[in-house]
Amino acid sequence: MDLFPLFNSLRITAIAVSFAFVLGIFAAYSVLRLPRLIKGICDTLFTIPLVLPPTVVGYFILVWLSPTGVAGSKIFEWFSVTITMRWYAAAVAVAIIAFPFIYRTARGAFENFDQNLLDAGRTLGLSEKYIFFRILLPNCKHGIIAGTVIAFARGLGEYGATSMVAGYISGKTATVSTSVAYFWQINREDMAFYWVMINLAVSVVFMVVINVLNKPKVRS
Amino acid sequence: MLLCNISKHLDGFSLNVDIAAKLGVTALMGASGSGKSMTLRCIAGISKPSSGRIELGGTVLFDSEKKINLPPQKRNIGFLFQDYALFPNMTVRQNIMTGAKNKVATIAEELAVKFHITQHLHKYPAELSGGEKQRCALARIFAGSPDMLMLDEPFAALDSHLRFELEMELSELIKRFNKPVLYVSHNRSEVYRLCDNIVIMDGGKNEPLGDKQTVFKKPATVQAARLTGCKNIVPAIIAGTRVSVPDWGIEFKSCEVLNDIHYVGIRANNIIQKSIAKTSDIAADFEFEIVKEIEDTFTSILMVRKRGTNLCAIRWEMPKKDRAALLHSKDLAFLHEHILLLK
Repeated sequence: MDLFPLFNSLRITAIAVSFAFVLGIFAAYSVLRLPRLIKGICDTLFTIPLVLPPTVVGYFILVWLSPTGVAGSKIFEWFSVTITMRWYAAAVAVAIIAFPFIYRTARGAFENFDQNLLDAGRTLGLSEKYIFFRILLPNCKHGIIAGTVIAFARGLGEYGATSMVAGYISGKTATVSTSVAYFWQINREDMAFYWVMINLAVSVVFMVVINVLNKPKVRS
Repeated sequence: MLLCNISKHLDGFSLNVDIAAKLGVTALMGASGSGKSMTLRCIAGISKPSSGRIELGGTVLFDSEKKINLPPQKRNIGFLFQDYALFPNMTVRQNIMTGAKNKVATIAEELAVKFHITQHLHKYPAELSGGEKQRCALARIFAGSPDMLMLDEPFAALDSHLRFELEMELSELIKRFNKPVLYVSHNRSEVYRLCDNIVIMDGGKNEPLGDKQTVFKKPATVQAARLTGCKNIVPAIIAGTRVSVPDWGIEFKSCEVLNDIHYVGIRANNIIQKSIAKTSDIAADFEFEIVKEIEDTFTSILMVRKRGTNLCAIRWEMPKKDRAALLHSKDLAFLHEHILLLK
């Protein structure tokens, strides 16, 4: 049995969530200190992939990155590389879809964090970098990790945007969720069922991880 | 020496303070919302004043005209937060080390001995009692040898039985500190025991600094009288040297200058029976009736007013044993020295 779609999904999601993780935390931290109006605008912009249908996200990616797209045509011209219909196009899609999950949980954790601790760090002479990495992040890690796990689960199951920007190319862009749809369409119900079971198994693992992470903390 | 002359405008609140704190402990006293904590935050550099100037020991920390605004990291001011603000992800030792400017490992041990927390060095803040947290926070502050200390209601988060012991420790510590200390509190006894000078704050403004004896004995304003524990404050009408107090139904001649005086006050425990007072000391006296009586832990509280009137009740507190003697007394007296003339 060819397990490429599972490997491909894990590869796409791992890369996409890594980007979303760094960018989401950075965005959440930056938004905190913005004036109210700009904060509202940024917040909307950063959260919108969460509420948009994934196909709309896929549409925008195609408009930008397809060989005839705004950025895609330039990339093709300079590097002779097409991005769409490749596995890494799916990574771009998943990164955008996963971003709001990390951004929102990180922002929530930062907002609920006791600002006095940050101020105390400043009066003690600690640098902003130290305060961010050694005080803010470690104390917000539970929320951020939970958000990341959800982002990862959401990314693994991503279908709409992925199928638009990467399609289904067996052994190249196939993922666990596009495999289910593909095999169903070509009347291979046994294969569709097989991939459904893999999806279920992966989801169960994630639920267990989320529940373990949400257990009440021993240390407050 | 700290010079702080700043204003800060927020939604619906404006802060205008002008404080010159010398060596020793200066208390900032005021009701909640009077701007005490905001003042500390501005001095520490974690809030930015709209305008003004802050200077500590000759170094300019903030000057809106010269566009100087040192970050809190460069101000070297020890700030003890109300809830101590220990970093929950670090042990006591790590917390102390964050404060140390030169990271000599032994400094944590030395400070732990000084603050009696040696056996807690490996613990996390959540495992400490309130008192231990405070000691840890102080050790962390002292690790950086600050040029000034600011304490924001240091005992507010503690159980009352812990307070006194810690207060004695803190008192020793700040007496030997030999640099300016700003102490925010609204607990008048604490302030009296720990501080040398008092700045009264009200509605974002401050009154001039006064030494504690003066502020407690002769508060100048209604706010100062109230914060130092005066329970009876009513409006007064001044005509030349005559002071009349319609709410109490009395009138007396004052030998003090009565500029700007609009209120009088008397402390609940300064009212005495007329029979034990020297006539020449009495400002006013009258026959009283008891409106209400409340028994407190160690004192009796009587709400009294002039007999046969419907005037404002005056709070009169006395030790319980004196309450029994009062049965034979019908008149009370206010002495000149006890009447507070207030702006």
